[in-house]
Amino acid sequence: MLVLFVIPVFQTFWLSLRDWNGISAESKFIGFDNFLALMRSNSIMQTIISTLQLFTLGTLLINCIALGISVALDQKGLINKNVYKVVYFLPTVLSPVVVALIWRAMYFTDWGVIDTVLKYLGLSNLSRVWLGDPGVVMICLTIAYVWYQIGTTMVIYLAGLQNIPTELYESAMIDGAGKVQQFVAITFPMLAPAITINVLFVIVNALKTFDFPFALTEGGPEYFSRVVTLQIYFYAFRGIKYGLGTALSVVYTLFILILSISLVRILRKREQI
Amino acid sequence: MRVANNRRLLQELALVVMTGIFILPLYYAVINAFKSQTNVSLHPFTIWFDTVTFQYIIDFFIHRQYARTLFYSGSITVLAVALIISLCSLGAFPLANVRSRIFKIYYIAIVGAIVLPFEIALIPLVVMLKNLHLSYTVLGIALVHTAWNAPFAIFLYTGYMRTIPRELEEAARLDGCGMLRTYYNLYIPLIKPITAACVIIFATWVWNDFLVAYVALRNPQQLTMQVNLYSSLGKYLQQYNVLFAGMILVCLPILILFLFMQKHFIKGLTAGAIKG
Repeated sequence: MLVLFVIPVFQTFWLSLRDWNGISAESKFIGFDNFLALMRSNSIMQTIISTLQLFTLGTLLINCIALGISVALDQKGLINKNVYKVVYFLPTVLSPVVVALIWRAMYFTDWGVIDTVLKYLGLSNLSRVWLGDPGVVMICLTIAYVWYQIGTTMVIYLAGLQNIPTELYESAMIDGAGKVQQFVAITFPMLAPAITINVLFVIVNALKTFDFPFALTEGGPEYFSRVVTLQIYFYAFRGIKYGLGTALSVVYTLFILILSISLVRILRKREQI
Repeated sequence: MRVANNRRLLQELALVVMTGIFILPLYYAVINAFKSQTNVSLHPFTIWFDTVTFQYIIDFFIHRQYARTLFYSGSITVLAVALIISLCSLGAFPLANVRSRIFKIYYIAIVGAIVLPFEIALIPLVVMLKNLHLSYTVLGIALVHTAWNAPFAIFLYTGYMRTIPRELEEAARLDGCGMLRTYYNLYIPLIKPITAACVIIFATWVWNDFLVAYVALRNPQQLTMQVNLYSSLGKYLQQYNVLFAGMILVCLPILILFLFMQKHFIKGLTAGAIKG
């Protein structure tokens, strides 16, 4: 673990300060030039925007929908509860490549599922090249991603919901609280630990994801859906710009660490109120 | 009472509809693996049982060398999971039991490492594997998986071991067990539930991985299933039904494992998450 995890990470930091062509053993120290070149490159803004889109929209959607589903599933007397649970969890077990290929078919123009449904509804004029349109590609990607990742979040919420003592609801009912009031006053605050972990999990996973966007769009059209992880790959293996790749890796690592530490702080504080 | 009943029925119905929409992509992929391409594009949602054909499953099986990729994916997964389980349970043992500053810092570092994406070390790693002459081998890939899944595995194991009463460990010590003896005779039987969870979780993750195999295993004779499926995309873009068939074949082994161990998977994930 030390050899294959820690050393490469530090090597990345070291290489980011150097000019290296990837083959020779020699490299020369060039200070922060790689970082400056990174800031000047024209696709970097798009990469940042795409990444932000994926993880903000993804986090919001996944958490809201998963919370909704798990509250619906948590009711007493639901007959096929376990069936529903497995169904919603199933996509999570599939491989990112499989999910990406399924969604490629969903988004195909003309005979894809989305277009077929639009045709039935008489809305064909809305159809477009879903994954080839710079304006909508990230939204399409995020929707597919939400579908793929919702299972984990849902089971964690379900476990959280089962930990809430039913007496609380009973006493609330006696006091005349409606369903909505019960949710705001009991469910939501009692779920705080589950919310903390889910927000963190989803954000970190969205920031780590590579396989799925790669197999779905390959970063296309052009570079409009290249999230940071994809951009690192492209720098390293398609453009042989190791310097830029490692510089981006360093920035990204620091960003993720700072983000997750501050998130834990903020969410933990909220739990204690 | 009747109003309440109606409402319940409505809720149940809404749930069924939601689930139906949710499952649509899966349904679509599965049924279309058994139809001809013309029918896939003309009638994507209908299935006629008299025209069901296994031709495309067989096509993918033979033309894309399913057996060979099954072997490579399988051996990588088995090796990596075995390494993860044996190393991480042992590694978590002192973290859960010994109270010292160093171990505490070590634990925090490991938990922090969970959030790091693999891609940041991609470039040096590929070069390193090449230098170690491991870049085209099953062992090399399994080692990379072990290293990058280890933080989460150690996290899960440590969390679980902390729930084991300390008295048990003390009793073992009084009876004259050393550290290792305690680990083998006392802990291994006790941590069986979390080991089951780890097996299914990491088997799924390693099996499903695409990137490591894609950058490190480029020899066309030794593709893993995921890479093989992805590279089929270019060839079969006009025959998507063959691709659907391929997807079913690729998912089948891990789905079978999942259906058997579904409870452990979910329990492991939620237990780890809630304690964290």
